[in-house]
Amino acid sequence: MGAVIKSTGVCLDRELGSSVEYAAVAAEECIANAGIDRNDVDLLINVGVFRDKNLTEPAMATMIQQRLCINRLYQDETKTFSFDIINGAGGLLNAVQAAGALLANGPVKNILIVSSDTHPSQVAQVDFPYTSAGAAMLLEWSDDPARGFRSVDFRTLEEDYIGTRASCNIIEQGTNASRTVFVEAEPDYSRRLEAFTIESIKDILEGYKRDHAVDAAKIKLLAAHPWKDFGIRVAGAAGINDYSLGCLYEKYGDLNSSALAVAYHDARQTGKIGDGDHILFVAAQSGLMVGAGLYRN
Amino acid sequence: MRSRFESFGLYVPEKIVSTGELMGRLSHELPFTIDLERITGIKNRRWRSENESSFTIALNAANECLKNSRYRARDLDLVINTSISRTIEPDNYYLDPAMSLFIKKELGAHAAVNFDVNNACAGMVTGAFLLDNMIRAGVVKNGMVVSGECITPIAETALREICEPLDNQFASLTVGDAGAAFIMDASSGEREGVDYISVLTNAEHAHLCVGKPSDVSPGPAMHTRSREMHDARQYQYALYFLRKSFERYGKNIEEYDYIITHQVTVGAVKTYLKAIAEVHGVTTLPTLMSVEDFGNTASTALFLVIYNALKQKKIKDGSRILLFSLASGIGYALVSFTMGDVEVR
Repeated sequence: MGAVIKSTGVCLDRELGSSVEYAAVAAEECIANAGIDRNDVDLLINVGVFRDKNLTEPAMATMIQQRLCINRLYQDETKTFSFDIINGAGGLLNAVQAAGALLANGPVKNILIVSSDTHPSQVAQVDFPYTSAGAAMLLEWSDDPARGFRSVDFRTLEEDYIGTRASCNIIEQGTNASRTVFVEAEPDYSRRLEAFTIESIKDILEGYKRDHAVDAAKIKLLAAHPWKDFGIRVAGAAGINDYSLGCLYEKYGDLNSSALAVAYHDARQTGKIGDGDHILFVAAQSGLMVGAGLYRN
Repeated sequence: MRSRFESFGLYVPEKIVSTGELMGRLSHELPFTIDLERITGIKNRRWRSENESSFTIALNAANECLKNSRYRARDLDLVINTSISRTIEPDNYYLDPAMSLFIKKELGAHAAVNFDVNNACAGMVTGAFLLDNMIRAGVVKNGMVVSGECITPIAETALREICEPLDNQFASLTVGDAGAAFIMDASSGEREGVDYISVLTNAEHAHLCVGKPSDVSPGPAMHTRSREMHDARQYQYALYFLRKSFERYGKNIEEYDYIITHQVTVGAVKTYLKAIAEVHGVTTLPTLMSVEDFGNTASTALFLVIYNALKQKKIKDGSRILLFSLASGIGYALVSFTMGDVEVR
């Protein structure tokens, strides 16, 4: 019982430039796969981080809603509400957790979570570590006690170490600021993030065993990959044996806010996730922060 | 189960800048004098000091909120930051990590989940919408929504760049800096708490007010097509939203002690109240304003009004409040609630 993934869509390998377009193309596929009327989307949550021209307002979600022509004109059933959640690759899990509450309370039925990242200049840049891409995931409620997101959990490193940051000094960058972002990693980021992720996932898995009677041996790991084979090292050290969903880093690079939705989409398309599988979504990021979502298809 | 507003916090910088003083700093001469104070009703706004950023302003408000709360930082389950301006250090705009991470770490709210919400001036109300649902569903027991609006840099850009009377940066001269925070938890009684939060986005007009770094001079800018933002179509859309909300939730408008709207200009507040009055067939509605003394403080505006009214004992235990939020996007929200025994010190 809980929020279940009704459909997904992705936008990869295309030079669209605009983060609105990446999210919108993925959303079109997701809506088509779900077979719903686009005007039946109750909530449109964008979890993308890097956006066109470093726009600060309005919410990118409203521009994506506009682009998708969802409830453009007010009619009797107009109901869509759009906003952004920003929290790196883990923003999807924040949205999933909030969506679970909204679907449980009703009357909300269809929650479309979209994501996209692109360099603010809308042109590929060699020093920008994230792949321009978009993804979409439609959530609905299921009363089936075996299905849905069972738990969403986060762990944050208490000390001051942030690991990596993306920023732009608007005054220093002057009239280039709308086309500029700097992504800088602190020393030892990859080693420390892997170690913190392993420690966090072990702790979270103990909780799942205790509270949900789900053993790590039955779980398939689905990770956002900040670099190659991040997931397999985390899985091995955290006691997760099933790493059959693999690593998409070599194929797509770091998909940031779209990483989890793309990995899920890919695994469903290729039959690596079947009905009844226990999936552990894992996003590890700046903060340091680790997010986990226990899901059963 | 219902949620309630458990505590509030506010921070405004000390420096006051009058509208007259601001207009005297326009870089380009205009063909005729524009009396912005007369047009907007805004006399003053608060102005950041050079060491302040969205982060420091938000943090001050969050600390004030904790002082007024039963909760300590380490008791918080969730911290949502909703600042439109996202500067951690002055002028340094951050996209990653989320600003809520910095706030949570500085407060010592280590057990809290955190994320940022971006929904223009409806940010804090969107945070309340999410937190209310998460409390009612039992996902969290409590949470803080905080916003630090360090937005006078857009006024500085406007002062440099405005060169014609109908320039689309005039709205940038109405803003002021402020931080606000509130904590919500489950209501322990029947009387206090949130009745409903109604939300809607009219995305057809998402492009009418856009904020981004300026391409003309160094600084953030906001470009607002003010006439279209406040034209008859927008008024009709607001009426549509209000009618739908009141039909669904059926609250009697006369039961409210105060109806507080988003604070853009005095005229805009009157227009928003007129729309609510029109839906209910009444002529006047009791309201509270901050825009004359603080300008438009974006996502914090509604909560700045509430905080000051609590301080002045205008809003007190048992007060019935209706909030009407409007935001670029264009987002609409109504929050209906009864204030509990909340103190601001």
